[in-house]
Amino acid sequence: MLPNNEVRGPTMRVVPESVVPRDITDDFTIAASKLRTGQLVKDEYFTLFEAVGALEIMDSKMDSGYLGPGENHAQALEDDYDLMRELAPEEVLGIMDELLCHEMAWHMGHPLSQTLFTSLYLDRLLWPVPKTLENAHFGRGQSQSNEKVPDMVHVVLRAYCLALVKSCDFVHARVTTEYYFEEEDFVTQLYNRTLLSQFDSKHFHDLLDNAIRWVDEHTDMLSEKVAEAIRARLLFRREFLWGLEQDVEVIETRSTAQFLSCLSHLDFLGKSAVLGKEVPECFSCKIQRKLASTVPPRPMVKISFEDALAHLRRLCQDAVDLLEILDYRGPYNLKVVIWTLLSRKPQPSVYIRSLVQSLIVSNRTILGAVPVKQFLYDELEQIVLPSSILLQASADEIEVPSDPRFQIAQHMDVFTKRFSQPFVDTFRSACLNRCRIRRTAEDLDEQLRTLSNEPPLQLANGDTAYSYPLSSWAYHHKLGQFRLILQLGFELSIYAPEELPGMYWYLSHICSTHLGHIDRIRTFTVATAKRNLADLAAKKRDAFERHAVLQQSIRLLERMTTQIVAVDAFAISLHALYVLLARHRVLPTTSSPQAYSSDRLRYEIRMKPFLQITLPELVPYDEYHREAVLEGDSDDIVLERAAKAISEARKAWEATLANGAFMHDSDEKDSPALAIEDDWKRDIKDTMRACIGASIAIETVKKALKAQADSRNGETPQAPQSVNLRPTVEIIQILLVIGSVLSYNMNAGASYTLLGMTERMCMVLGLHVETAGYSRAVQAARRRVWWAMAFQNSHFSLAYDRPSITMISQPEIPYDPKSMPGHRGYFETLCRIISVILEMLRNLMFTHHSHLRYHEIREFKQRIERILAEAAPHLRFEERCTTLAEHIERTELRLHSSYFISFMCRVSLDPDAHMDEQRREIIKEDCLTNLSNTIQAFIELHSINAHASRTWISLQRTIASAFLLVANNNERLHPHTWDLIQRLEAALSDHVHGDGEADRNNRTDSAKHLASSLRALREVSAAFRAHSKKQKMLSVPETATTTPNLSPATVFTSPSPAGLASVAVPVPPTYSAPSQEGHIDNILNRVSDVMLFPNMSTGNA
Amino acid sequence: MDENTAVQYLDSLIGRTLRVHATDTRIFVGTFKCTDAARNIILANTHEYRYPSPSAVRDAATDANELAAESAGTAQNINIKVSMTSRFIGLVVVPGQHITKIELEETPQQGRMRDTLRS
Repeated sequence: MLPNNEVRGPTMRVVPESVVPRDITDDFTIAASKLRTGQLVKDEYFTLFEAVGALEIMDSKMDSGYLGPGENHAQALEDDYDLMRELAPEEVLGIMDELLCHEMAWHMGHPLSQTLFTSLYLDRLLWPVPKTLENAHFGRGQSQSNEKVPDMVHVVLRAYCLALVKSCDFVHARVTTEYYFEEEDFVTQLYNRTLLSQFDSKHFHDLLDNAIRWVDEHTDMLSEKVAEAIRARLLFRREFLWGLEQDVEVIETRSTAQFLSCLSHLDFLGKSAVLGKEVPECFSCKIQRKLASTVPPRPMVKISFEDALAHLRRLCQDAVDLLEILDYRGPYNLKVVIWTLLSRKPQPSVYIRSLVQSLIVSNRTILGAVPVKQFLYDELEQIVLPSSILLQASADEIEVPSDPRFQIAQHMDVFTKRFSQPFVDTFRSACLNRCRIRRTAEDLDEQLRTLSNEPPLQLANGDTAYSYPLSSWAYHHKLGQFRLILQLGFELSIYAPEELPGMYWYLSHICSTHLGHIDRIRTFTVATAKRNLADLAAKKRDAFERHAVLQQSIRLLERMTTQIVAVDAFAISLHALYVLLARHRVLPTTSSPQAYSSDRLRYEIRMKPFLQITLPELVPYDEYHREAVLEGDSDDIVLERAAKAISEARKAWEATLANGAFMHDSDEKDSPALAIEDDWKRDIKDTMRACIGASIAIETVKKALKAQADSRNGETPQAPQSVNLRPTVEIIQILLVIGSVLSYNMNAGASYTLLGMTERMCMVLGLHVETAGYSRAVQAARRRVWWAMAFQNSHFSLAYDRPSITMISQPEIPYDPKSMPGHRGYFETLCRIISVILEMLRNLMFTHHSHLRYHEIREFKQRIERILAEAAPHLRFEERCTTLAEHIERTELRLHSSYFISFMCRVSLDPDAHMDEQRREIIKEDCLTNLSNTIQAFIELHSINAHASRTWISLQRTIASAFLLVANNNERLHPHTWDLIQRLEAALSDHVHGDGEADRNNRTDSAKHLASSLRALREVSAAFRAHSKKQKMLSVPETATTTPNLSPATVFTSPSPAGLASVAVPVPPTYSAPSQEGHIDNILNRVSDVMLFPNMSTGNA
Repeated sequence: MDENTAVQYLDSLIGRTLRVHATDTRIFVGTFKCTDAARNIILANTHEYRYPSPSAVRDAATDANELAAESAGTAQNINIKVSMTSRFIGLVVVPGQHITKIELEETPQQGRMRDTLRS
């Protein structure tokens, strides 16, 4: 660890005499204007990243030299404040206190530019840099230098200011020589000024003494109280300066008098602060304009006088207690004192921490007394090598290279070289700020790990072979660092609540590993001690001495065991407690459920610093997770574990407290470090209080769990949640898809039933009416769903004459906001047509007519044609279609609309209907045209996409149209019909054969129906064709209507409710040859059974 | 001057010391690092120079007057010399719209060389 490198800019610009400036404004401007936007001309090594750090001139936020709109040049640097003016004593007092506040703010880590360097008085003293101390006065650079400076200002305030600057100089010097974190702990920037470091502190003391004398002499000018207050401040400053000047000399002087005396003044300083009168004009941020500063302007920092005094009091108190670390009593005790002192809350200020660093080690000596090597040997002796030959061998005494003692000495020297620095750093790192301690610990750890491959030491007598003393020692420290890192993590609250169970487990895991390791060390020490007992009995030389050392070492191991057991037990119980809280979801989580982070990732991050360390091995995540959640343990077991562990922890902490903070030599009675021991005891007592708190928490959880269990036993067990078909728009969409698949591939009857349920659900949601209160998007979705349902429903209404609620009430058509006539989309157009059809069906139902009248047919047909005319171009013209979807939409729309029109006109095919013959012919012509249009559309659809033509509704409508067309064809008028039918047969046989590859028995119902429909269609068309040929041969002109005399109504439109049952009658599978006309009826009826009315009641028969 | 020569010219200035005068009369002297089409200039290791305040000038004048009065007796039309205040401010960017004048620092030798090269 080295002091931070200071990066400072050049302080003075050196300009060669001969330099001539040359105006290049015009050249430059012209050249720059030729650059393209975004083009840069720059130094090859100058990066944009650096450029970001440039201060922008003339920007009020960035440029400390910027003058605000109201400021004129004359006021830019100078304040109107007259430093030479006479000050009232109260004002001097106020300025002194204000300066003290600024000084403490600087100690706390604020830069000088925002604190002390805002003072106009200090500025005048420090700039330009004074050559002599006499030169540093308030009247500098003023022409009126001969003018009489008021003594109050010149003697008292000047002395105070100069002494204050000098004390800052001592602090600055101490901090910068040690390891600190710039801007985190402290800002060392001096802005190209000095803190009067070139002058000896004697002068400052003289000045202060002089000022004190002046105050004493001029009691007439001052009121008594104010005089007393000013005097106290001057005295305080003198002592403070002494104290800071003493610095590391304290090792020699062992004097706390100065800081104790400072402390004695502080109370009075606090009380007398009210007497002062503030002079805010003598502090100004404008001085920042004169400071060599590479940072933007910043506001002045103001802290209250109480805060400043509190900080000062802590600083003085810490400086006094610091003395207690100076007595060297072994590494263990040193570690305890340093840790305890620096763990005080709030943490000691950066000056104290720097001073402790300097005291711990300077010139490779610990506390100015113990060489580093000896320090390391003491540590080794205490822990792993009590009275060992390893530590006694010295290369200075033995020079024979073959002598084992020489070899030992060499080994040990290498070891010392490698490890003394990291070892000392484990002490020094305690002086950093807490966050940094944690991170530095992670580094140190890595340095310590290198010892893991130490060879077994073979000694002449075979004593300690395989005890690996040095590795053991390194491992012991490594585990200690692990524990430190984990515990500091808790102290600094870096773990998220959800991590706590796991981290407590990990802490206890490390602790138990450490305990095991200490046990191992102890085994060897105890063995040595036993061997020594024999010597002791024999009253050998050194045996008694060795005995004492061994006992001491065993006591230390015992003490460490107790403490780690305490930490371990506490961690175990907290682990169990947090597991319970997490299980019952009491533990808050910081990450949202959608967060990317997971337990595994968090563990990975936490363990990153330990990844490279081979020993102790990193626990794999799965094992960690299992342990962390106490998998497999019931609440009761976990609770018991927590309760047991916490009582164990309390006992162990009590034992730790009883052991005391320090290792005592047997003869030593009272502790020399009272203040720090008090801190230590307070800390342990606080820990015990935390144990009590934890045990109360565990009790509370126990009670809560019991209450919960009782109340649960009282209740009847909850019934398993039933399948909830609460309708939502999504469920309706799903049902519509299922219904469509059902009808298309398996079972139209089931589909019809399902659709009925779907329709009811729509009404539960209120989709059949317009409901207010939904957003536009939701409303559109609701309408679409309803109309999709209506489309499927209307098919059943049309084909089977079954009324539906959809006829009566309907929401608006889900028009797209951009939709307009001529550009209506497919779904919109279809919905519009369906709405016409529904209206038609409603009329039929209400008027009890079996069919439409002529004018009604004309009107509905015209409305459908108008709707079609308003459809988007791709729906009307083949050449406007670009995508497959558009082609499918176009043909589907044609298929359905033609079918609808043919349906309306169908009445004309019924010879029994009452109708004017002329009109009947017109409508009949329409009907036949639209029937063949339907078939054409289907064939085209099939040619575009075979899957699309498999849709049940399209298929069913087409086949129905085909039968009607076949039965009513007039060959003279429509010679192409047979052609069309043949192509339809080809398309259908595609589907049948597509299905037909499978085993006949495995076919779905609809596939069976399709096959028989095709067969029937073939037979019927063959029969009619034969018939028409016969007619032709007989050359008897006959109208098509009279030929088979087939009533469409019987086939398609009106299966009465009673008919529903009759269709289930099994159809004889044999077909007689349809050569006779009478058979045609039979064939058609059977077709209607199999295809057009799939089994409604027999299910998948 | 086409684009190529413009870039060449500006490139030749990179790394040289420029004196950039700003609209508020301050002068920034530093190493030229970067510029763009808007004539924004980035200077490294910059020192900021500011004209002495009127009070400083007045003080200096008084001193000079006194000095002159002691020696010669006539206090008329004497030149006084007051140095500009300066400070180090590091890396800065001077926006093009705030630049009133740009000067290149060069030794007379460099100046002569440039002239010969141009002619």
